[in-house]
This record gives sequence, structure tokens and C-alpha cells, in this order.
Amino acid sequence: MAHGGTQAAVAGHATGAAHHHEPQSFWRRYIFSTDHKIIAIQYLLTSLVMAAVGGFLAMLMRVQLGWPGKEWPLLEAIMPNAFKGGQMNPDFYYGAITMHGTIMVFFFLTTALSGGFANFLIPLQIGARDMAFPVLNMLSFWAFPVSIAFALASFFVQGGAPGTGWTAYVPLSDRETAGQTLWLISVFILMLAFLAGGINYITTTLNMRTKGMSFSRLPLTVWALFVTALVGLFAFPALMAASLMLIFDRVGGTHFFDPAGGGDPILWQHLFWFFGHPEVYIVILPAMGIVSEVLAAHGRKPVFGYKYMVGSILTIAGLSFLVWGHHMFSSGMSPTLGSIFMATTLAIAIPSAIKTFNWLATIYRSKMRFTAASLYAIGFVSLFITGGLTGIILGNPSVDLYFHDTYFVVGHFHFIMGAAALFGVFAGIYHWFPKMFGRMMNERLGKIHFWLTFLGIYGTFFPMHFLGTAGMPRRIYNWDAYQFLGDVATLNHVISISAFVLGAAQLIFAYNLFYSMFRGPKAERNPWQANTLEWWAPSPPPHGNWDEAEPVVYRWPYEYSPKDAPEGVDHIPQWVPEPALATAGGDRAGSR
Amino acid sequence: MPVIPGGRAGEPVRIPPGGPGGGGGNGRAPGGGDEEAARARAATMATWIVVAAVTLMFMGFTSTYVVRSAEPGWARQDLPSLLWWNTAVLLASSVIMEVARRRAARGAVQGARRALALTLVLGAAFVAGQVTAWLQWLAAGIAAAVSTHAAFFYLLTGTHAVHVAGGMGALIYGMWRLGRPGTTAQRAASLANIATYWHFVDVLWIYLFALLLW
Ligand code: HEM
Ligand SMILES: [Cu+2]
Repeated sequence: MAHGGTQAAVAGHATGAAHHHEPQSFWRRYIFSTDHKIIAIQYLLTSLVMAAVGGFLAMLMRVQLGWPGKEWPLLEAIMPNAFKGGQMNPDFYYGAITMHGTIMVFFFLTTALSGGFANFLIPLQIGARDMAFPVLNMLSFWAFPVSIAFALASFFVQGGAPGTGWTAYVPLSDRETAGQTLWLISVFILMLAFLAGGINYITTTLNMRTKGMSFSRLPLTVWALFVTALVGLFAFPALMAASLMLIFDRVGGTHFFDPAGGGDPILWQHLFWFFGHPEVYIVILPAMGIVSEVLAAHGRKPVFGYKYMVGSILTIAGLSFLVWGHHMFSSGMSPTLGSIFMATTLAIAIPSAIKTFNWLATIYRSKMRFTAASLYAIGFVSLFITGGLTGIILGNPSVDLYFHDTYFVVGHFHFIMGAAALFGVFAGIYHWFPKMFGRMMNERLGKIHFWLTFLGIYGTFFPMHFLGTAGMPRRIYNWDAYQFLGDVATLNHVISISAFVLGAAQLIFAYNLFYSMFRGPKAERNPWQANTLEWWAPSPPPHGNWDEAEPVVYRWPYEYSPKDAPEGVDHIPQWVPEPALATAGGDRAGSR
Repeated sequence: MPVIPGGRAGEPVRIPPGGPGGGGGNGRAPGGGDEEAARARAATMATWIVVAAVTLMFMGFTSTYVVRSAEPGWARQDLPSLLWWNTAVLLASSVIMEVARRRAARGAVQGARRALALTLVLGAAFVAGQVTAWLQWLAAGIAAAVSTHAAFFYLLTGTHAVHVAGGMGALIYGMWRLGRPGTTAQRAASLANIATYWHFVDVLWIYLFALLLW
């Protein structure tokens, strides 16, 4: 496709795109851009850089946990303060835990999915030219580096990064050094930015859909991203309120939470987890949407149970607000309340199982093309099953009382968040890279990346469950100080070595990403022969997305391998009217 | 790669309204014809989303307030009486805002603008009044650290004042917007959104005041 020509055509076109002039200066085009696609790429690249920072911290943590007490002269040479005397300093370790968790959850996964993919996909997949509020979109992106700056600054202030973990539990977070205040400010700004982003995602999905794009024809990615924005709308204000009160406690001498002045630390936990549990769905729901999309397109099969997929997204989103207490089973809640939270928690297993079985049914007897994208999507399903099963175990208060704050929990949430959501991001990048950059990624490197990552993840996080059953606490710097943990040394070596393999594998991805961005073979409009609207636009889409008029939608997005279609037709994109195919695709399209 | 006959990507496709595929969507014609209308609807929706998010944040404060106020040792100070005056000022500003909105809907641009300016002045008076109330309490030795009730007083009024200040920004935008070319309907729609927000911070204040008095 000669997209060079089409860009010029759009810029100078008199109709349709008339008021979508492409900005000319470099700054307005690539830095302070209001184009949702540029903003998407800005979000995505920033979040990947943050993933590298968070991953580096994880490697340092694994150095300590694999060989506690060992001296590392080389690391001392690189980071003299963190490794004074050759050994990692405990304060640095706890700061690293906090920043690792914060960076991975907020600055990487949430940002990549609800910043990167939401921005890229929502307008393109619903047939809009941009977000409803492009300037707000730009502002919400630029609040994000400000938030990062506050968070990272905490490493450099007196006392270093806070050691409270990403949950910032009181009273520890009332006592922590100045870094904790910076952390709270960072979180507050971030929530504000995400809310501003969410306003765009919600209003754009509701108002800017092109003709024919009814809710029953919405791609599952858009469904997932839209519902995620709604979840954020209800969840973020709780953390904003909580962090504001904690800032007051820290700098204003108040005692909202601080028990020393009669405050109530459990209140912080309630507010935090009222936000925190939905937050884990804020990262998993978009990943679920991406996986459904990728499985259908690369498996050449309609998504199985579209309506149930949508229904379960909505159910999970609703239930996610009723389960926060399962993080507090051990905080002294009444057994009755514990049972209620157990019931709601286990109820989430139902829509989750529906989704899982529908993915399996989509994969089953499909004509799967094993691309890097589809491997990651299949890997997601595997990880989601493993992580989901341990979630059911932890959902029982009596079991959780034992496992809480052990590595069993670390294993569980890394399967779901650290791994499954991560796989969603990778599936999405491999799938949409051609559309984003107009070039193809190297599939071979992608597959090597996949297998190393997949094995690395299982090698790193699966054994953590055994650490947990052996009683190893999480957030511990020198587990070797406890005699009863003598047996876990080997496991910790295995985990650390797997983690290093996992980390190293990401270098392959980084190389593939940046090399392909500039040197990869040119992509066609629709290299995967997919059905959703973004593949109708040129690769990469020009400013304003569509060459001429916006596309019109005639059917649901999963018309793959349609029955009774003419010879050789294995998919019918949403934008194809084709009366001759009306009998083949018509009735199904109309009914979904 | 199998090629689908007909419907080639890249060809502009136009269908008559109500034609095939017309069963869904929002009825927006392709070609961005009424993109303006869609954006206006989006703006109204966005206003309500902001209202919802702010409400939820104050719900977070409220839940803490309710829990803490039920604990033993909860002591409530008498609030500065100036707050009653401030409340009256804010209520008056809402009334004037309503005048502005109606004038804009009638197309009386100049009158709407004057009313907006007056709303802005009243809003500023309210914020100044709140600051004075804080100074009065501080002068009386009731700092935020003194009691939990005092802490909530500063937290709630302060956060609320920030939202009023944001509303004042919206008022200034509204005055600028009235001077821009556009139809009466467009101006009315934009003022309606500002009015929604302004009335919201007003109602929010009455709620918070009642909570603090309680
Ligand atoms: C290279 C891969 C990773 C390794 C080796 C790793 C390792 C670790 C370790 C050792 C901890 C501290 C456990 C403790 O003592 O509590 C931890 C905590 C955590 N990790 Fe990871 N991690 C990795 C990737 C991720 C990813 C992708 C996420 C994204 C969600 C993530 C999220 C978290 C969170 C939320 C915590 C809890 C932090 C806290 O409790 O303060 N990790 N990780
Ligand atoms: Cu949870």
C-alpha cells in the first residue's frame, strides 16, 4: 500500500477529513501530539521503558534472595550506595520492592493497556477519527511523566524510596521517610491522569462509533477497554481520597490513619483494596480482550460465545468491587464478614471460567496460525488458568490465614498480573505492531522470545508456591536468618536463575521491537487477514485515520471461516457489504 | 490470501441512511457529518463523569468520617459562623449561574456573559470566605492536628475549595466561549455543562457542611 500518497491526500483533502489537518511541526506531530495513535505509541514506549526499570529492580531483588549475605563487588562498583560493603543494603531492598510493584502495576501494565492499547484501538476499531477530547488526551499523557518523576525522585531524597510496598500500609507508611510523600503525590497525579484518560475512552466509545457499529458488533477489545475505564472511574477516586488523607497525616500532623493519634490503620486497608482489587481487573480485562481478538484472528475461527464473553466482562467488573475484603482476611475481620467476602470472591470464578472455556473452545479445532501473537495469547490462557486456580485456594479465609504474606501469594499474583497481563501486552504488541508502525516484526525472534519468556515465567513463579507452603514470608530481605527456612535455598537459586533467563529474554524483544520499527519489512494493510476496522486503514493510519469517509460496519467482527462462503473466502471483514455474501454472513452477523 | 470479491479495502463505501448495516451504531453518518453533535454529547457525558468521580472521592472521605466519628473520643468543635455566610454566597452564585444559562439559551450573549462574571465574583468570594474561616480557626488555635474533626474540616473544605476553583476556571472558559462564533444551541450546550458542574459543587458543599455540623 502506498501510504505515503494517502497521507498527502488526507492532508489536502477537501471533504470528510477537511478539518483534520495534520500538524506540520515536529513538536506538534510527535511530542505534544493530540493524535490518538501518537499518544498511544508514547504511552506504550514509556511504559516499556518503565517495565525495563521495574524488571531491573526485580533482578536486583532476586540477586539478594537467591544468595542472601553474599557480597557482590561488581554491583558495589556500579551502585555504591545500594551495595555498601558489597552486600545489598536492606533499606534499598525494601525501596526496590515498593518501586518494583508500583512501576509494574501502574507505570507498566495499567499504562500499556489503558494508555497504549486503549488509545490506539478504541478510535480505530469503532471507526472514529480520533478521541472525543484530543487535547485532554494529550494532557492526560503528559501528566504521566510528571507522576513518574515524583515516584523516581523518591530514590534520591534523604532516606530513599519508601519500603512499604505498593500497598503503603499504615502505620509503616505514616513513619516512612520523605520518599513516601513523593510516592503518594505520584499516585495521586497518576489517578488523575487515568481518570482523564478514562473520560475519553468512555465518551468516545459511547458517542463516536461509526455507522453500523452497534454494541453487539463491538470488538471484544473495545468492550474490555470500555468496561475497564468504567471500573477505573469507580476505583481510582477511593485511592485518591485515601492518598490525600495519608498526605495530610504525613505533612499536616493529622491522624486519619495513624494509630498513634487514635487513627485507624484498617481504614487505609479498606480504602486501598476497594481500589486495589478492581485495579487488578483494570490490568487483566484489557488483556482478556486482546487475547480474544488475537485467538480469533490467528485461529481463523469466530470467538466462541461472544455474548457470554461480553456478559462475563461486565460481571467480573461488577463483582470486582465486592471482594476487596479477601485481602484483609487476616486483619481481624469477623468470620461472618469473611464468609461474605469468600462468597463474592469465589463467585468471580464463574465468569472467569466462562471466559476460559470460551477461549479453549475458540482454540479447539481452530486453524491456528502459530505466530508470536497467537503463542502469547495461548500462553495467556495457560497462565490465567494456573493463577486462577491458586486464587480459588486463597479465596478461602481459613487457607488464606496461613498463606497470607507468604510467597504463595507472590506466586499467585505474579501468574495473574505479572505474567498473564504481561502476555496480553506482548500478544497485543506482536499483533498490532504492523498497524502501529507500518512494518512487520521478526516472527522468528518473536517465537524465541515467547518460549524463553514462557519457560522463564513458569520457572520463576511456579516454585514460589512451594516457598509459600514452606512458610517463607514475602517482603523479606534475609530469609536465611530463619532456621526453618534452611530447606528453601535450592528453590531460591532456581527461581533467581529462571528470573535472569526471563529478564535476558526481554533483550531479544527490545532488539526486535526497535529494529523492526525502523528496518522491518513493510506491512500490508491487513497482514493477518483480520476483520476489525483498524485493518481497513492504511498501515500506519494517517492523521484522521481514514483516507476518505469513515468505514461503515455491516457485521460482527469475528466472521472467520464463514460457512457457505464462496470458494477461498476465509474471512469477511466488518466493512465489507458484499450482497453476494449476505446469505453466508448475513444472518449470523445480524444476530450478534 | 483469499481476496473477497467486491468491497475492497480502501474504497470509500457509502450507504444510504437506514440501508444495510443501519441496524446499529449511533446513527452517525459516515464522513464525520455530525461529528460536532457527537462531540457535544460527549462533553455533556464527560461533565457527568467528572461529577461522578468527584462524588466518589468524597464518598471515600465520608466513609472514613463516619467510621472515625463513631469511635470513642470523637470531639466536635463549633464551626466558624462565617460558613453560613459563605453558604449563602455560594447558593446565590448558583442562582446567577442559572440566569446565565437561561440567557445563553435565549441567545442573549452579553447578558449571559455579565451573569457569568457575577457568578465568578461570587465564587471567588466563597473561596476567600473559606480561607478566612480557616484563618479564624487557626487564630483560635484549632489546627488540623488538634482533633480529627478539625482535620476533616480542613480536608473537606480544602478539597472542596479546590473543586470550586476548578469551576471558576470553567466559568472563565464559558465567558471566552460565549465570545466565539457559534450557534445559540452550541453556546447553550456549553453553558449547560458548566452550570451542571457549578450546581454540583454547590450541592456538594451543602452536603459537606451538613456532615461537618453533624
Ligand atoms: C522479571 C520478572 C519479575 C520478577 C523476577 C519479580 C520478582 C518479584 C519479587 C522478588 C517481589 C518481592 C516479593 C516480596 O518479597 O513480597 C515482587 C513483588 C511484586 N511484583 Fe514482581 N517480579 C517480576 C515481574 C513482575 C511484573 C510483570 C509485575 C506486574 C504486575 C510484578 C508485580 C509485582 C507486585 C505488585 C509485587 C508486590 C510488591 C509489593 O508487595 O510491594 N512483578 N516481584
Ligand atoms: Cu483481590
